[in-house]
Amino acid sequence: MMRFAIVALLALATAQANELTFDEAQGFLKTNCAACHAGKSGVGGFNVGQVGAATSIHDHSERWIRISMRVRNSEMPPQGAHSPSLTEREAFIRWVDGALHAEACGAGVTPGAAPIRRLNRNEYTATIRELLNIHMDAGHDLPADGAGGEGFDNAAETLFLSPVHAEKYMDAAKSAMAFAIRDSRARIRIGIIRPGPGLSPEQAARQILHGFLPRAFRRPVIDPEMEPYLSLFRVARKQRKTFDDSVIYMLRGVLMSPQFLFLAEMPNPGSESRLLDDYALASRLSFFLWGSMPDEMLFDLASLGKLHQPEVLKEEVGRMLRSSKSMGFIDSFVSQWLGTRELGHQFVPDAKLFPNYSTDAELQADIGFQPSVFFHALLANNESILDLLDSNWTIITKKLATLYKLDIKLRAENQGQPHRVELPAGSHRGGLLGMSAVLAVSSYPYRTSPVLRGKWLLDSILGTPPLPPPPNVPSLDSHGKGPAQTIRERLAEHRADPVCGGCHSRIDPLGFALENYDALGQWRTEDAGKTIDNSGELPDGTKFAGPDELRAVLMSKKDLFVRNLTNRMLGYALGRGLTRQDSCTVDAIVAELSGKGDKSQALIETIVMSQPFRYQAGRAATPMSQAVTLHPKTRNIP
Amino acid sequence: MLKACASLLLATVLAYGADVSGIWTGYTADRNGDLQDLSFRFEQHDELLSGKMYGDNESIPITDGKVSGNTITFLVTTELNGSITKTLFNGTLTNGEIHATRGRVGGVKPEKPAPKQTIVLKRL
Repeated sequence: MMRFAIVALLALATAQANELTFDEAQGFLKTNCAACHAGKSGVGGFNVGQVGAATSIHDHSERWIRISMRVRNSEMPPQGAHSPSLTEREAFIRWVDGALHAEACGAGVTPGAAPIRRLNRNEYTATIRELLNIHMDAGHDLPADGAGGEGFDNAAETLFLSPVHAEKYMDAAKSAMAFAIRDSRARIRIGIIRPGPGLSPEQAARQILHGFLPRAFRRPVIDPEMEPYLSLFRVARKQRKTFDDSVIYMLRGVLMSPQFLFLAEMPNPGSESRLLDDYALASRLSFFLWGSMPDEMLFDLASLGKLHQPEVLKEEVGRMLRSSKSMGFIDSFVSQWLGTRELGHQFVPDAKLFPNYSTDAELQADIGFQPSVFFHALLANNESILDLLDSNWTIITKKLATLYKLDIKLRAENQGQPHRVELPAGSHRGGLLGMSAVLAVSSYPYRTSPVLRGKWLLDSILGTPPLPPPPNVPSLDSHGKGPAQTIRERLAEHRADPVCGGCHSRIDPLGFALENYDALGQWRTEDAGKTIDNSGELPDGTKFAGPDELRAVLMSKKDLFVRNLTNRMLGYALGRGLTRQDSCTVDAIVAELSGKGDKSQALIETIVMSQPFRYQAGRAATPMSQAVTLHPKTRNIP
Repeated sequence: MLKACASLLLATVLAYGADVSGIWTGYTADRNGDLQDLSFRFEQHDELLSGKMYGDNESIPITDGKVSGNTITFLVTTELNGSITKTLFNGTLTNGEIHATRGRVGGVKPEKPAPKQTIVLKRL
C-alpha cells in the first residue's frame, strides 16, 4: 500500500514537473554516478542501488537531498569525469525536489516544529519598551543577530544564548531597571507600590510581581513561579538595600529569566497536533506583526479564550496592521528580504561618484525607507502584492523626486515627509525595481553590475537563485582585458565559456535591462560616453529591453514571485526556516491568495490562519533538529 | 415551572437590557479623516457599566457608565500635558452592535472640531 502511494505521488510529481520520470532519474544516476558508486565498495559508502526503489524517497529522503545538493553544487560528478549538461542537471534537481515535495505533502498540511528562540536585539528593545513603558534603546549594546532560516534575524536557528549574550542581557536589564525606577510612568506600568501600614515590604514586592510577572512571561503565572524572584528580593533586603533597590534587584532577575528572554511554548504532550493556547497565539501574533510583546487587548482576548476564534483573529490582524507598531515589522521584513538593510553599511555608494548621496543624510534616509513605506502603503490600502513588481504609484519625498527627476507637485507642507503619488507615464519608477535602495544594494559602490542585479532578481524576487559557481571558475576580470571593452562585452566573453555560460545566460540579461539606472538608481542613457544597451534575451528566447519590458517579463512569472514572497513571509512569521512539510502550507496559501486577487492583507491573514501558525505539532511530529529544511536554493519548486 | 423561569428571564432582560460585558471594537475617523481603531472592554453589573478604553500605550478607565434598556453612556477622561479632556459616549445596542456618538464635555472647544459621526462597535 505504502509503495503504491509513493509511486502514485511520484507519478503526480512527474506530471506536475512535466519532465523526468522516476526511471529517467535513475538513468541519470546510472550514467553519471554508478561508475564510482556501485556495489558494496561504492565510494563514500554510497551506491546508487540504495536509492533504486521508489520507496527510497520516503525511506532515504536525506540521501536524496545529499545527492541533489552534490549535483546542484557541481561537486558531483567530480572534475575530470563525464559531466551532465546544465539542462540535465537542472532537470534532475527539479525531479528530486518535486518528488520530495510530493512525498512530504502526502499526509497533508502539518504544523511543524516551533523551536524555542531568544528575543533578538530589536524584539528585546521593543519588549522592554512596552513592558516598562520606557523610551530608551535597551538593546543597544547587545550583539547583532545573524540571519538564519529564510534569511531573517528572528530565526530560531541562530537565536541561541552565548555567554557573551548572557552578560550583555544582564547589563541591559540593569540599565533598563535603573532608568525605569526613576520614571513615574514606568513605575505605574510596572505597578510599583510602596509598603505601608498593613502592607509589609515583602507583601508589596509580592503584589508587584503578581502584576508584572504575567506580562513579562506573556502568560498566566502560578504562585510557586514567583518564589525565585521573591528570594532575590529577600536577599537584597538582607543586604540592607532600600525597598526600591530590592525591587530593582528582583525585577532584574525576571528580565534575565528564560521565560522572558525566550519565546517558548508549553509542549504538546499528545500525539496529534492541537490548537495553540491563546496566550502563545498572542505572542506569536505580536512578535510577528509588532516585533514585541502582546498589548493589553491581546492579553484580554487570550484571558477570555477568544483569540483563537477565526473571526476574532482576523479582526486582530487588521487592528495590528493598522497600528503604527506594525512599521517595525514591515521595515524589518522588507529590509532583510531585499537586502536594503545593508545600504550605508555593507553597500556604500562611492562618495566621489555620488556626492549627492554621501553629503545628504536626509536623502540617505529617504532612499533607505522608500521600500518599507511602499510596503506599508500597500498593506494599509490592501493592494495587490504584484504592485511590488510594477505599479503606477510610489512613495516620494522632495529629495527622492529630485533624485528621480520626477516633476511631481508635493503638498507644500511636509515636503520632506513621504507622499504616495501617482507616477507619470514613462517614469520608470513603478514597483521595487525603480527604487534607489534596491538598485544600490545590487551594484558595486562605483559601478553597476548586471551580474549582481540579475542574481538579486533571481534570488530575492523570483526565489530561483542561480546555482553557485563551480570550483575554480575564472573571474570576470580574467576575460577580455581590452581597455575599450564595456561590461556587456566582457560578460559576453564570460558567457562564451561553457563553464560560466549556463548560469550567466539567465543572470546577465536581467541585469542588462536595468543598466539605465546607475549605481545609485539615477536614470541615465549613457555610460562612459556610450549609449546604454539595455536589451536582453533569456535562454528561452524571451527578448526585452529596458526596465519597463523587464517588469512585464517578471509579471509573466508572477507565480514564482508570489510563492517566493509567501515563503519568506511564512518563514518570518514562524521565526524559523521552512521545511519540506511547510511547502504544502505554502501551496495552500498561494492558492488561497490567488483566489483573493493576491491582496497584501490576505497574504498576512492567510499566514496567520495557517496550520503552522495556529497549531502546535504533537509528539509524533519530526523535531526541528531532524526536519528536512528547505535549501535556500529550492524555495521555489516550480 | 419552565414557563415561570422563562418569564423571569425575559423580565430581567427587558429591565436591564442585554449584557454588554466583553470586548468591543470599531473605527472612527480623526480630524484628518484617517481611520482610527477604537476598542473597549465593558463590564456590566445590572445598570452599572465599568471597563476601559484600549490605547496605543495604555488603557484608560471608563467612568460614570450606565446601561438603561438598550442605551449605554460612559465617560472617558484623558490627560495630555496637563490638559484634561472629558469625552462622553452615548450608544444604542442594535442587532448585536453598539451605535455610538461621542462629544466633548466642557473645556475649550477645538478650532477644528471632529465631524459628528456614528461609531459602530462590534463585540469580539
